[in-house]
Amino acid sequence: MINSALLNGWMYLYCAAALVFIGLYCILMRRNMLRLLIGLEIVSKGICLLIISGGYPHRLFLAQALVITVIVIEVCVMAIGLSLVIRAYEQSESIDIRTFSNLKG
Amino acid sequence: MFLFIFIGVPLAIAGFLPLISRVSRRLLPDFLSNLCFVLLLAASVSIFNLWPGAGRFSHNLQWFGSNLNLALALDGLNVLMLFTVSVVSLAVGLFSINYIDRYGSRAIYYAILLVLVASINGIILATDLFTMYIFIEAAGIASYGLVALGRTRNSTEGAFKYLILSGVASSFILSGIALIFIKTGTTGIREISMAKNSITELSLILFIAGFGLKCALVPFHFWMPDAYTAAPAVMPAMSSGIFVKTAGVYAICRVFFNVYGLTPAVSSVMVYLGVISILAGAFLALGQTRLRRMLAYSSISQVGYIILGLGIGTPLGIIGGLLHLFYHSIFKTLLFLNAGAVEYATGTDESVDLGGLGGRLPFSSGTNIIGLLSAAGVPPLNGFWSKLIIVIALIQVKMFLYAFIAIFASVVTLWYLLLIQRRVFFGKLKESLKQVVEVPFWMTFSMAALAFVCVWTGVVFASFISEWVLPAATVLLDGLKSSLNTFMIGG
Amino acid sequence: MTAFLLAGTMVFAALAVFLKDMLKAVICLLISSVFLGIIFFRLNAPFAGVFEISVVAGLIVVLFILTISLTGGQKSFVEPSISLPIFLVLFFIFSYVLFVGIFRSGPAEEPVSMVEEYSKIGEVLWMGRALDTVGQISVIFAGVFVLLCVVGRKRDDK
Repeated sequence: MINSALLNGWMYLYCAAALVFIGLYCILMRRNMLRLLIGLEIVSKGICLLIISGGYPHRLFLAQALVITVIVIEVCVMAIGLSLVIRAYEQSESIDIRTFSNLKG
Repeated sequence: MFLFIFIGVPLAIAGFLPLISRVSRRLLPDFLSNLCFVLLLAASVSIFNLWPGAGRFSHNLQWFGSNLNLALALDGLNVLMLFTVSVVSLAVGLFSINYIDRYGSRAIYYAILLVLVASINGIILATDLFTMYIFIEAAGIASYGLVALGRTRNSTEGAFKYLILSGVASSFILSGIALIFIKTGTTGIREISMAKNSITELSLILFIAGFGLKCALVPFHFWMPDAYTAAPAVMPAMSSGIFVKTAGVYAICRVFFNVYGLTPAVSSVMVYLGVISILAGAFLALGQTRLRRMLAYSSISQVGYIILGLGIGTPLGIIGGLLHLFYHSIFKTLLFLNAGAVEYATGTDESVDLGGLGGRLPFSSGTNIIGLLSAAGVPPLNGFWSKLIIVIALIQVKMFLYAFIAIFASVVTLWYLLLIQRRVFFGKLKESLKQVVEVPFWMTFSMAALAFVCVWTGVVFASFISEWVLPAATVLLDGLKSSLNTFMIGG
Repeated sequence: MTAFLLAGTMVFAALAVFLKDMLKAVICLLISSVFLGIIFFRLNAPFAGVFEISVVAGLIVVLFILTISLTGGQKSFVEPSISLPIFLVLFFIFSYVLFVGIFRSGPAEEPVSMVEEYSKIGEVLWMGRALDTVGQISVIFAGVFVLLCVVGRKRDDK
């Protein structure tokens, strides 16, 4: 509960919030497609830290089950994202997201 | 056991399809998938008949003697959503028997479609916020695959942008769930609604952002036009027809009505977002020439109507919102499938290159007229009744400006849809289109069936409301207390 | 010790965003994951720690390196960025706002019991939350089929 997270240090919560911010900044401001995926991964890390630090010490098994599931989902999403990047490179020799603006307008 | 077939049967068939496709490339995948969709439709109708009309049921399964806690629950809202999902998925399944000829890899396509339907049923039947999140992610992954089916450069671009934006939305939703987990130590809907003071404001903002991205509310609508134009026509039909409704609107209903309770702050936020979506979608659709892009902006506008109706909070508003949810699934799927039929027959989507197809494609033209009259709200077709109820609900709570905006946007909808109809189907036949023939049988059959449902639900709307929509609205109006009268069924 | 690990996670994650060379950025992501795994171990969550290190720092980083080599090595290009002081100011403001938002109200008034409900991790995933396991199966199916579709070649069906 939030009592326990307070007990164990506000540091965990602050670090989770900071990781989410770093990931969102990466997604907004970077042009390389692979970096967008790195940003998505960092956001997931922040949220996993939030779940585990919030579940300490009474709900650890449930928290671990949630985190394991989130990591499995992230692996699938990353795999698909990376295969799309490979196909984008095969089709147009570039992984810069700004060159893909055919669909605007 | 009965509720689990909604999730279990599509997953099982999807697992076997790539193996079966070695035996028969064409017949067996078509037949098995459409049989599965017919089975789901029959199951949802029979659940509606068996269900006593009030209360909630949970299921526990026995698996080799030990009690397997599959927490599935059914109440009025779920019955309506299951029926919507099964009707739309059957129509799309029949349509794609012929449509997927152009794209190849038929078994993989049907496998992705079945996993999508199974995950959407999972979202509806789940009793736990985190389970809902898992199935939202699974359905999202399946839709990224559907966008990327085209294997052109545009589809890869659209799929990647959709993946990133939808991934950000999912992480917002997960943060909201994590915050609730920190405060209450659990993620089940029933337990959270019983604990008081269980949500922070940050959690609410994160949920609105996350679910708003999933259902393309303004200002979170950026992915929808790009993803819908780059995909084969079945993807917008499935996505706008059921995925946006389920992962967006249904999830908003569950969280904001059953978990948190509808406070005036949340209600006003929903009303504002709804009105802005209606206006922005309607005006942005005016200048479009590509058929699917215009329909995507029209979708944004209509989802605004649904959120507006639900956000009002009065019984009439909620009934109007839920009715528009069901009707919009029907007619928007019909319009997208028509756009797909036009593209199949002529090879292009751009309305500047088309013209005068009414003579060559009579079925598509006729069903398109029915679809657009429903979307614009012309009596006695179905769109008229749902929009009328929403406008009456707005007048009841004295929001006259919003009622005027709703009626005005309805007129604008009629205008741009008629414009496209005139450009594509009426007028002179262009030289390059002289060889166009009518689309094959299964595509016309599914379009005609959807058009028939449009007309029929418009005519019998009163009994439809009282039997299907009223129990669903009761669930939402009960709010926090609706999870308390839960019956347990073994077995 | 905990502060050092948390700071290490944040610093390496920030490095993964800012380094120009993609390969070095992915290695920083790996180190950040290892730090996070050690934090999980110290919080008495060994299963989550094992998963984090083996899957994120193992599988995902390997997939990234594979993709980098398949997309032409390490061509880097000019990317827009704001200067470092502005980034640090925004960083502190934004994460402080998020942090206060998490902190704001106290615990729920009727909190669920303070005793651990489950005794083993297998019990949670199989007995307590079996529908989650079905959900994971559908996620994996969806991932496999979409990968088959994206990577495969177009075939004509007769």
